[in-house]
Amino acid sequence: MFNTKISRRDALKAQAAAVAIAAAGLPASALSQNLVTRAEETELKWSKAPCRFCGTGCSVMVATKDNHIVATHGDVQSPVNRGLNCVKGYFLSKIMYGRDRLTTPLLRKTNGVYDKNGEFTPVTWDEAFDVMAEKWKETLRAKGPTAVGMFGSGQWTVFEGYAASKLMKAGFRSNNLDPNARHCMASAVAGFMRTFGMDEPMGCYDDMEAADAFVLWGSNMAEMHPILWTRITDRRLSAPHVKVAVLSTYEHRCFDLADIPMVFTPQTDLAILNYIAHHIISTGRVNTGFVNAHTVFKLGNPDIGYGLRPDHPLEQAAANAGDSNGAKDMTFEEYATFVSDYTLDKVHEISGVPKNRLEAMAELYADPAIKVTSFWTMGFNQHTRGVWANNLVYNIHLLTGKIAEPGNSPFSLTGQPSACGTAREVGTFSHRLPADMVVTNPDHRATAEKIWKLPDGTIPDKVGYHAVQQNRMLKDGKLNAYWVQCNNNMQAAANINEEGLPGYRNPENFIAVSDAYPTVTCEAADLILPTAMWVEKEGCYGNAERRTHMWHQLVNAPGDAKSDLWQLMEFSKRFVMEDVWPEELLAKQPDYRGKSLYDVLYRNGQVDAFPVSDIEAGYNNQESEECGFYIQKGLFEEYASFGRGHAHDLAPFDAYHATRGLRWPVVDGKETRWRYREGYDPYVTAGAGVEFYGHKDGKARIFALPFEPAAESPDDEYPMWLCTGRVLEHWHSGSMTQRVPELYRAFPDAVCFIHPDDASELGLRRGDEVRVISRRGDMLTRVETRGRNRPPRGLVFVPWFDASQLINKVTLDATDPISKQTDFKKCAIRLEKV
Amino acid sequence: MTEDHGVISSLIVQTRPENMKTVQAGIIAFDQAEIHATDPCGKIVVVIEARNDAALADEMRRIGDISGVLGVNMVFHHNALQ
Repeated sequence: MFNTKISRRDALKAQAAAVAIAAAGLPASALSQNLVTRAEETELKWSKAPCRFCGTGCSVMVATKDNHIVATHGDVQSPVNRGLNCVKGYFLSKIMYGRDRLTTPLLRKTNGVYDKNGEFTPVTWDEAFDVMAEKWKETLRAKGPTAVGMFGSGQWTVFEGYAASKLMKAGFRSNNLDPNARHCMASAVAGFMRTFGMDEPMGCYDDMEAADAFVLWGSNMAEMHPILWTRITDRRLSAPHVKVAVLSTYEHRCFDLADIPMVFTPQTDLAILNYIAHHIISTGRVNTGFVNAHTVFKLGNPDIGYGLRPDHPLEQAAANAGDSNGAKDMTFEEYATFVSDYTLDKVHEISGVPKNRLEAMAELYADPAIKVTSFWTMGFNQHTRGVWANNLVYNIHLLTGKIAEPGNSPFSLTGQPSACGTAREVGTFSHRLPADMVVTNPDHRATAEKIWKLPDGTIPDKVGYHAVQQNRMLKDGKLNAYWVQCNNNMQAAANINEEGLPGYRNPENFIAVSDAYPTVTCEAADLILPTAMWVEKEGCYGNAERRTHMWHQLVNAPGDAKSDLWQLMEFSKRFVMEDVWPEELLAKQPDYRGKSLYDVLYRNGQVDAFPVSDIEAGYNNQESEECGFYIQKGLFEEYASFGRGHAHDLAPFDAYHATRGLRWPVVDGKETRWRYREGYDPYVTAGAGVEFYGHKDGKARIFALPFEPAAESPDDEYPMWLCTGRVLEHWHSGSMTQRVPELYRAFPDAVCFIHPDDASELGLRRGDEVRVISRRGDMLTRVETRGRNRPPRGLVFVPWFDASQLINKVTLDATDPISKQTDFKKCAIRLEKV
Repeated sequence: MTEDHGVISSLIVQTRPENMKTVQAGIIAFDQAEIHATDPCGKIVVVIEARNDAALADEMRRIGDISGVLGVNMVFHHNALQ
């Protein structure tokens, strides 16, 4: 520095202020960005990486020194977060340095041999995989491919999800592969597929600076997507005409910014959505030209059940439990009559929302001069009518033509960093293949078999067990060899005492769990595999706005911890094709005889096509160095061949290391910000203007769907609603954030948020211990009558991050019958003072 | 657990314009936070100096809990003042 009288402390403060001023978009000193790099560059190596947590897809700059992360800051070059970090992202690097990191495989043993009731004992990787492979082989011999399964993750890298999909669907020939994204995004996926015939949002985050109004449908963005909320707050505060409407079943932090705050009775969002459609029609604001040119109307099957076990009375009583996705054609006039049932008076009555607020919100959609963006997350998706809720919000954007252009955007947000990239685009669901293809379609299977160099008939044509079904089938002894990677389902899945835990501990089953830390799920397993996390490996994620982004391995994993990708490949080496494929299939491809699964799946001339010398200089890559080829690049390029030319185009691999990510489809090097609209989307036919090309007729579907009640509602015995969710400081089950001292300290234990009048009626005071009881189980927590969440009378909110307070013993495993996604937002409970 | 090595950090606080004054007063009520810039639209640039990360996190939470604060996001972090 020129002025030697300025102390180092003052200089750092000035630098901190200058960077923040720039990030805030205030008139900045031109020095600011240079200061960061100049001051730090001298001693540290800085690299970009996406944040490990939510689906926003922020980029962080990571500084390493001597194989250790020593500093991070928000990436000013990222168009997503523009230099900002939420509190979790701020302390991100500390997730790798918890004191109880798993560094060696652990197998349950008694007297030196595997025993399901034994104690966890350190073993080598060889012993771990030998025992595990033997269990898989036994199961395949005894029961065939439907008895093996895998539960993966929207936190898997794209490479890992793709490698797992090949291993399961082609190698073991089992579609029993599902990601934990089933719990968070499945209803959004099915909603997209039903309405548009193609998954993922048409818009992007740029909508936030273009919209005149925002409507939050069951999304607490202030806590769950804070960086996106900052952009909305900026827009609201800098453009005074902008309005924000917030709907929820309880008041949360987003209500602080709301111009139209609305607390509604659980499940009645369906009625509110239909009311808006009715309001648009009855006030003559249908965009008739758009509707006639680009939409058709469908009457969806009602009374579709609740995704419970088939012998449950609710399933027995449901008329269309067997055809939940069914629909038939209808006219606009029939649709208008259908929604005319949802009058303002009636919807006010059942939802509890004041009429003037319902009307004010409906006008945001109806007024052609207002550009409106709708956001939703788990409030819609974790819903026994979640697909319907997604369809219904598209209805109101389609009726008005407010879609697929800047600011007019129905926008499904994601909760995991690669729910879109890995779970959806790679297709790690039990019914899916890459690029929106499905296992039940013979043409799609043929495409996958061709790209994967497999004989015809390799991929099974039946949908596998989805997440909830996997736990049920483990309990019933039909799924016996099971591998869990990169998730904590024993803390996440609903009704764990009746389904998940008995399933994992079923003596017929062998459960392997890969994780970086000893989670609740690890404790329920038979074999624990220690996993390399985040920047301990090279990775690729896909965020909520179709942005694919990558990072390099920046440090080495501790001890014997290995990435999920390495684990998948190593495990595949333990099988020869004769172990996994029947003779008739091998007869079609005799050159595969005697080869290993590893050879067939990953040494196929494509996945192993790129040399390790292609790895960018200065970065390690543990898996590639070991297998002798650039595995991530090979997996990516083979995977990308599914989508190129089919409106899922990804750029060449190297482009993603050189940019802050690109939004697909990437055509001729250009990303696509708004799909389905000519001028933005190269796949729209010239002259069409708008084209929803996911469906063959180029048209979106407007669905007539009714209000139907929740699977379980409060009654005399269990008089309150339970809603579960997250808090800002912790991400999902807290397996990472609870190990960051600053985040733990900020919100150490789960609590039960409750209305003060409900509390006093039960003789409860703030901080009192209370038992939350449902028909399925109970848990102990403490009463919170103040703070960030303010439930109405009759509803409590309990976050699920706390491993010492398992609220999923209480929740109900009812799902949306179409998407198979659990409703974690609604079940009936009672509270008892302890 | 955490050494007192000293940390400097900056953050952006958002509030409605009409609450700027009261939020600013709340931010500087304690010694650890300084206001370095404001935008009448509702942005306040704050620099925090704390003895360690735990104290820093506590200060961030204190600011987040000030009535009228819509959001607190972090920008810059520097460890080890000495």
